[in-house]
Amino acid sequence: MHWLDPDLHQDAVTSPAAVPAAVTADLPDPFTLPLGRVVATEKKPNTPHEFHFWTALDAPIGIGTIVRVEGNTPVEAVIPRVYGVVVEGFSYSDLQSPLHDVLGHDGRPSQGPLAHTDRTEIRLYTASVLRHIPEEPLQPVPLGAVYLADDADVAVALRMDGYISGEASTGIPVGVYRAGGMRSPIFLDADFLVGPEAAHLNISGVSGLATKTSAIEWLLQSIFAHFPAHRGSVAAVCFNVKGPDLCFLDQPGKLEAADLEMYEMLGVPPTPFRDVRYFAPFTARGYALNTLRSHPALADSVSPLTWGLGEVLQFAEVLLNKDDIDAKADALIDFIRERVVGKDFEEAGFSRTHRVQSFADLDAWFRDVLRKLEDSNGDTWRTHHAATVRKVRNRLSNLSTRCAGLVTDDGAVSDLPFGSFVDRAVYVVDVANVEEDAQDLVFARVVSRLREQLERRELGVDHVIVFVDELNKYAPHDGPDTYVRKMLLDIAERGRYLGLVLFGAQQFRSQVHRRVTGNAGTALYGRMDGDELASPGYQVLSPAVKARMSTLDKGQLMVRHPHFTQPVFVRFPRPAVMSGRDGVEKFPQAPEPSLAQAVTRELRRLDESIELGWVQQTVLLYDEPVVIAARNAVMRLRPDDVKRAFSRELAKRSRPSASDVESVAPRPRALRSFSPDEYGG
Amino acid sequence: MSTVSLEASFRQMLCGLPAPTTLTHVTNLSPVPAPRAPADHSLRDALRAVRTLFGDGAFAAAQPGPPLERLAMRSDPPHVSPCTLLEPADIRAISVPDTPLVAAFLDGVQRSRVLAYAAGSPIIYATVAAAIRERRTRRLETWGAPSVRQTVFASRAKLGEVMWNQLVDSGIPVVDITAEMRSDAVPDHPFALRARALDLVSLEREGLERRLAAEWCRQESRWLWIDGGISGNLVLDEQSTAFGVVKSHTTLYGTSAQVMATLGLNEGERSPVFLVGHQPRRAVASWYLRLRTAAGGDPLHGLVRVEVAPPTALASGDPLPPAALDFFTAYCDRISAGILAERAPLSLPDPRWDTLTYGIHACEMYLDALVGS
Repeated sequence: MHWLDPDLHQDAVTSPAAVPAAVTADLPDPFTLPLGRVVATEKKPNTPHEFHFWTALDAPIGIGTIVRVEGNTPVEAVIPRVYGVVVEGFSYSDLQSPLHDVLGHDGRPSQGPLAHTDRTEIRLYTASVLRHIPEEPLQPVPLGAVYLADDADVAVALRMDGYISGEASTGIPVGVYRAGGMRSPIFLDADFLVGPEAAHLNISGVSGLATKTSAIEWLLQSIFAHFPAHRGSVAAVCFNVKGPDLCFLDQPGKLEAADLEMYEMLGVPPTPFRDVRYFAPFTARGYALNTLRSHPALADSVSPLTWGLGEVLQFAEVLLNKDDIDAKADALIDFIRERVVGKDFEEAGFSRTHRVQSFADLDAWFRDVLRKLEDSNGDTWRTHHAATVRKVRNRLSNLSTRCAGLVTDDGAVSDLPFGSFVDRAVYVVDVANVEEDAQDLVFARVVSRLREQLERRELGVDHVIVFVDELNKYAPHDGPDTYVRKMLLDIAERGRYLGLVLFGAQQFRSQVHRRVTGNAGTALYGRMDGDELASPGYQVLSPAVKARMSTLDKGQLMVRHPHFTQPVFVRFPRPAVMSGRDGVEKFPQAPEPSLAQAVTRELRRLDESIELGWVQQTVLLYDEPVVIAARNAVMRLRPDDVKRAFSRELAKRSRPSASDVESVAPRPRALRSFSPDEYGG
Repeated sequence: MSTVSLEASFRQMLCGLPAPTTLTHVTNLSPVPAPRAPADHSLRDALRAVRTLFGDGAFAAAQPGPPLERLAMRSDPPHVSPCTLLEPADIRAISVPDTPLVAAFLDGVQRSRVLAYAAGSPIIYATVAAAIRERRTRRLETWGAPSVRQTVFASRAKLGEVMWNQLVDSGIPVVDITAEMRSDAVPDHPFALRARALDLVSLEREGLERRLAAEWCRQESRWLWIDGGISGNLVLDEQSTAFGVVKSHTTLYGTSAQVMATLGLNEGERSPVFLVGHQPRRAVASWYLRLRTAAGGDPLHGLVRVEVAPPTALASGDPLPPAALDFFTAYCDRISAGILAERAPLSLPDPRWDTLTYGIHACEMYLDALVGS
């Protein structure tokens, strides 16, 4: 079939599934009459990748406009057709020197002679070639008439015709391209967005416009609406690392008529995510979940995210810097991980058999080790130097303090539903109010678990999109080679084979590791900072494109995608979810509850009959840590009789444990003491 | 009195005729040529034809170079010529209006090149073109279609009948530059033949310009600015909404005192109207107008001479009655004001910018783009 065959265009871009009929309504004159003419001079010739054309002064052409050139001379019996996107514009008059205009006004801009004629003026544009039809032989762009690209042209120019039509369509709407009163939907290829051909997405933009978060939310909605069934299931894990941005994804947002029109055009339902699950660690006091989504009307939908020793020890490297983890310390941590945690540990000289399941248990185990060292008056225990033992104890015991609320002393675990992820569900991990160390730990462990389970095909879905904001913090171009950065690099380079897709966002793309940005098949750009645009990564863009990037409004993006040979500017609708700002106004954060209130709120999730009065009476005689531990135990066990189970857990924890006894029992003094320096601080 | 009624009254005073809506004097003129691509008989076509006829050897002395107009423009020696004053010898200061009078600008260009020499005759390829640029919403656009004509000029007497017929048969319009000469008067000097050809090319251009001006006056009631004099344009009369502006002053009109007064005009002042009796062309009413202050003491800087068709009443040889003279003075003042209103924007970097209005400059640019410079 020849490209001139109108049936091809019909098939390629007007498939009802791909492009709604409203878009292909009667076209205005700009589409049928030439808007410009290609020009070439010896000094400014056209090439196979770039051409120049002029237009009338009022032509609806601007930076980013897609145009079509119709050649005049057939090549191998085919009239060449070239598609291009405007990347630079020039305007000048017949003045040879600005001084002439000064002379014409006698040097007085406001008082010169009245002119009834405007000078002859030109609008000259430079366009980068998007596609040649036919592709071979590849020749310089011919002189010819320039037309504004219509829907069919846009689809062909961006090579979308290969994936937006037919049953095997993999088109994911990313936005609407607008020019000359015409709007064309722009699609990404799911195979190049989620894998396996390419994957990952990176979005850059200045802070404060909410473009990055909005774009990600919109794109997730679009993916959930259009990800083809034959490509499997997909879910998203979003790390909310600042503010309330992602805290109200299940609440409807404010949409204007223009937004609704775009939703309809792009075939995405203008509704919030139907399946959103929130996870947040507790506050340091442990009373309530540490999230801005704490309004009573919403709090029930947030699950605690708490980990015990077993979950954390595997990622101790995340929390311990290189000074902490030398080879000796690493060896001892490995020993603890392999031989101590979760196992019965018995050794001559120890006060008892240890079964370490929590940080409290681990501390008791360390006390026994150190006591034995002191008793034996030796320097080493099982080849580990006493100083190393003290150092590791110091660092590990500190973890529960540093990550209070996330890491529990008593080993209570509440985690994401690994293994039972649901198609088209969003899992939001809210770590916005958590210390940086804890954020790193959450990020490292969640992503590692996702990768492990995807490798084993046990996650429950085939693809997981992981959204991480502030990538320049987690995967900086320079700075220490942290565990998190290594992990992000690993996802960027190998994730697409597993179905683990990274959607990263940052203000300054140039400050993110190049292997992370370079492996992102799709890149979105909101309004960019001038300094950022001056960095080497943007050298391929023309000054005019940069100028437009620095003035993009909310809802505007520049899109780079493997199928697009040049960046394309699109508009996207507001996400159909409540913005963080609106969310905190409508659902203000609940005040920090009292201990009894916090326990009541949690237990009511298991038994609605539980009242604050009963809880106040029940916990009256117990210490705060005991009450919190009992609550966590009940929430973990989810018993049928919540009241009874809670009372039992309280009673159980009120009795002194073996380690408590040990800590207060008199023991022989060490014959030789160690200086603080020897213990490594 | 409104502008339109002033003009109508003036015409009635001068001619005793009601102001017509259309002119009838152009019926004997051929219509403006239909839009025609400049490449109908392109230079390349002409070269091809001449090469076929005369061989490569003919081209040896005629490699493409600058147009003949740059090499051999005729220039008369400067002189002062007497004239008849139609107004009292007073200098009149003209105030510049806020609204423009002129609606369009007419200019023509000519480009001539020697393609070859054959039998002592230069074979000259000439392109003449004329166009009107009309002002619409402050921008200039082409009114109607431009007139473009390509012609080959050669001496039939020199070439002989065989070669002449071959040249004619090539399909390119050919003009005999010695058609009206006796055989013994045909010059032997090739440059003399070339100069004769240039005169004919100029006449051809002027013919195009005249036809366009006539077409404008037939269809429009708005004012047309014609570059150059209008004395050769018999179509234009006192009812025509067209005037000519002469920028060069090889001939200065008036007595010695009148010339001194003219050279002493200040910016925005005009001289009294005088009658210039061209022969064999017809007489025109004319006056000097200073567009810009004389720069550096140059007395001709910014000085133009305006030409309009004289009142018909003057044909009798009697002076205008006082009332008609008053109207005529107002008429000339109004045209002067319209000219002064076109001083901006400047037509720099053209060296004639002090007298070349931007509309004519734009017209030249347009024609240059059309026929090549």
